[in-house]
Amino acid sequence: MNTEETDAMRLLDARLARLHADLDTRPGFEARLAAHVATLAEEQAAATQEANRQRIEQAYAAERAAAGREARFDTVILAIAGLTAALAAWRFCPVVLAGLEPLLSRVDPGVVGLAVLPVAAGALWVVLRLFGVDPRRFARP
Amino acid sequence: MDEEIIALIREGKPDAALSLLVPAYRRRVFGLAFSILRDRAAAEDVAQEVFVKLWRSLAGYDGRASLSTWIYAITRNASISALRKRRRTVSMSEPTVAAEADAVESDAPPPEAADTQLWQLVEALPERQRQVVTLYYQDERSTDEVAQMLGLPVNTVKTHLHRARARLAAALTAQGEYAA
Repeated sequence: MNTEETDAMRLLDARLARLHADLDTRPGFEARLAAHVATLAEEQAAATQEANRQRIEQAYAAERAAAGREARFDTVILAIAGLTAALAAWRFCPVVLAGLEPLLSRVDPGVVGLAVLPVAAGALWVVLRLFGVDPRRFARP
Repeated sequence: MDEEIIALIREGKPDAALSLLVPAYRRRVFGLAFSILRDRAAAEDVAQEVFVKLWRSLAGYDGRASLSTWIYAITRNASISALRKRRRTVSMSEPTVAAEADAVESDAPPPEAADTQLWQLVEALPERQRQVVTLYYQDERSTDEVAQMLGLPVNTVKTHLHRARARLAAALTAQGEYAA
């Protein structure tokens, strides 16, 4: 390559460098990007919050479902116990009464009435559970 | 600079890392996108997309590839996707719209550079040569850096650059204006 060609190439390089020197983004690129990123960060935070809320709701629903299952199980157990007690009472009542007669004759009828109360409360418990009401909630403040 | 950015990423500060990364890589990302897309607006959109992608995935950067290699790979992929999307849009459009899109294919020269004739000659170069010329002259980069940006071997870049310069010089000579 002779000197003339080398000079010409150097000029071509200079023209190409000038031609491409201003190849850049429009002014304000970084500000636009920062605004875009800020919007995305807000959206991401909102999405995370929503996901957390849904997770808590799902956990609460699962807890309620588990409590419901537990309550139904309790009800069945109590019903079986009640039925067994009723059958036992029906079957053995005359014998028991005959056996208790001497004792009952010495006890005040009011005391017998008081002794019946827990049995009535137990029966009420069973009935409430059958209707899906947890009697324990009446004890909570 | 890259070490500083990587340190911020490792400290779990993606916003601070991005604030260093953007000024350091803005021209390079835009230049690479432009060299592929030949459209300033589309290249700027891609540059925005690339930095958003980087911001999102900075926490996952494992340092296996160098930061610049990683950024250039993301930029090339985003640019190629944008190019494919544009071609799909053009092929599905009506002929008049397609013609307009073709007109946009080759973007106008930067407003400050009035060397329209040379710009047209650059635009007429084969794709790879055009990309190499754009990246090499945008910031008078080394062929090594251009090779890294395009993901090509250095010798291939040197060959493309040599051929492009020879072609441009020949074209200017033919037009009676030898690179002057």
